[in-house]
Amino acid sequence: MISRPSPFMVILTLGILLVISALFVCTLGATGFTLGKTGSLSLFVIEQIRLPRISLAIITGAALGISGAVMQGLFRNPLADPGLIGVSSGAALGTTVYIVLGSSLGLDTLSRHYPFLHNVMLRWMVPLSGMIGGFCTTGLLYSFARRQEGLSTTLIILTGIAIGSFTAAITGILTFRADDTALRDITFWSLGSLAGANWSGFVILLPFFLTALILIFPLRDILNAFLLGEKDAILLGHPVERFKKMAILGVALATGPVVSFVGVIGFIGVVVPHLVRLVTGPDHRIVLPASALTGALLLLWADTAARLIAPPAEIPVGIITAALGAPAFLWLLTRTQTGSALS
Amino acid sequence: MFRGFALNRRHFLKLAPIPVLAALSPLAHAENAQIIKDCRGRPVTLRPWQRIAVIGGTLTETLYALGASERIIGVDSTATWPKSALKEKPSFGYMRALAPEGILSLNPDLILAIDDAGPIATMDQLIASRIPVFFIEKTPSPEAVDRRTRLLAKLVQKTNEGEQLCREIDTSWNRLSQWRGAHTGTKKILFILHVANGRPVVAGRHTAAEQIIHLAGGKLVTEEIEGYKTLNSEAITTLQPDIILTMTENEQPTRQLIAHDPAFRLTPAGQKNLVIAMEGERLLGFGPRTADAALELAQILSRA
Repeated sequence: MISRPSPFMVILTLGILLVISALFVCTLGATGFTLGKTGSLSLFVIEQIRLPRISLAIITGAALGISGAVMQGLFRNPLADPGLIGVSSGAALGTTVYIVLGSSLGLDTLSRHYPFLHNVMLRWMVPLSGMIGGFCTTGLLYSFARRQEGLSTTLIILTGIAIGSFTAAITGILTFRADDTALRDITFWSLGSLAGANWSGFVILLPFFLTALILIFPLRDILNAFLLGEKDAILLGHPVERFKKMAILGVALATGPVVSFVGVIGFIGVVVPHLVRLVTGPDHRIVLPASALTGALLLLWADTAARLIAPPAEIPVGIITAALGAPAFLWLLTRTQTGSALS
Repeated sequence: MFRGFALNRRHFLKLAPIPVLAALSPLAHAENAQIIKDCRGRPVTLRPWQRIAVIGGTLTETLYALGASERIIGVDSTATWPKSALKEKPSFGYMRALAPEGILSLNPDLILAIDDAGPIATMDQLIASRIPVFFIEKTPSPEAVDRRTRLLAKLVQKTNEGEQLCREIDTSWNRLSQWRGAHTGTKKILFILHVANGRPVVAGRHTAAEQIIHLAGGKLVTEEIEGYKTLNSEAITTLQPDIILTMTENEQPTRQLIAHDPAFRLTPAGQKNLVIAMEGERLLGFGPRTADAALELAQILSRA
């Protein structure tokens, strides 16, 4: 038997680390940090640029981390990530539709007559269309994978593959139709970046994130029962069908909105739950909160690297999470001899 | 809610000193009073700015041409001319994927931005930082070149240099219209922006390339396309361009494409291997050298 640190200690350590990191990272940046000097610009940078960005990094990382843990538990598959239920590919499709077709749909011309509407559209149509795309795709997948006897996880995976290829095809057709500027915008969106973080975006995302947490946390006991297999979970008296619905809804609510805002950020959803289970073991009562905290920590530091590596320019954070996440994942695989510790 | 707070405070700070200044020193007030509006109608008080962050290659090129390069503290990655600009000035990345803190870290006293700089969230935050942000129109037309040059000259107090530069530019435009008056015949032109995955990305209508080709007396064969788009092989054979125009930066891949793609061999341009390459910022930037580029293009077209 391997001795595990107590759940309380794990959560406490991660929580303290996150708070210290957030405070520390707040002092880092291209403009530097001068304590005590209330120069209006440095105050503005901290209050209006760094703090919203740090907050966004924390809820994005937490949403991706906890969603990854739920997905891996639900599918009993170590490779499952939030993308499996189509929410990310749907968000990609939604944003691409708006970036490519937005001007030709006449929305821009229409709203130009109403300056307020135009301002709102310019700022919020990309994330909004991403959210709509993400939720619709997940809904479509759900209706395909539902059978009279219930929701089959195998069917979800297979339907997810089909719908994923289909949305990718439509996105492809659109990018073929896109002009050069739209293509560049799509590329930068797909690389993922937190550079556009502001308080209004954070305030819009927070309710989705909190609702998702409220949906996901009560699932911890069923997720544990699910480790034994779906039949055993039913025999143990758990409402398995309701659980599957809640899990999918929770993951869609957690990831759809953040992906629409910040673009594609890879590997947090897959790697974080593995890292957590290495320390805590498979008990979801610890894995869920620890994955949220670890995801937040990792994305916070990855985004800090994105901000600091090439000042005054920035690197898209999706590149950093993929560049660090892929080797970390390989290292995880070599560490486990049988691979059993992963599942 | 945080933004609302910042906005109120900003207005307060902006309003508070003015009556005081006005009462104490009418002269200082008169000096500061010159307010100009940018292309979005946002007022900015004219000041002798010394630390300008410039977003948009054409703006950087014009400031260099006006002899105001020492006032530039940072540029974006589209500042391709003069070549020294990106070497001697820090770059804050691509003009449509900017992050606010990088720009603010250079401590600019003015942020000059071409109208389509972005993303919008970043521009919003730059505006909220209380450092003046001045947007400049990006219209690709000879008149707009004059307007931009005069405006930039005014912003850096180089009005004489601005007038001189406009005169030089106008000389080129005049020589262009003389040349076009003396030479008739319209060549059909295909403009290749770059080659992506072995396919040409070409210019359609409402692009700077379309404008420059019209000015030089050519006809763009891809006028049905909007913006810059990828073109398939079969379309190339039906378009029958006489000449292929591209940018020096992408000349090699373009020549390779034309040499290897059979569709081009069925066009007059492909058969005679007529490829013209001109420096991108000069040709498409609608900055100080564009008039000269249009003249050169017109001359090449009538000789080809």
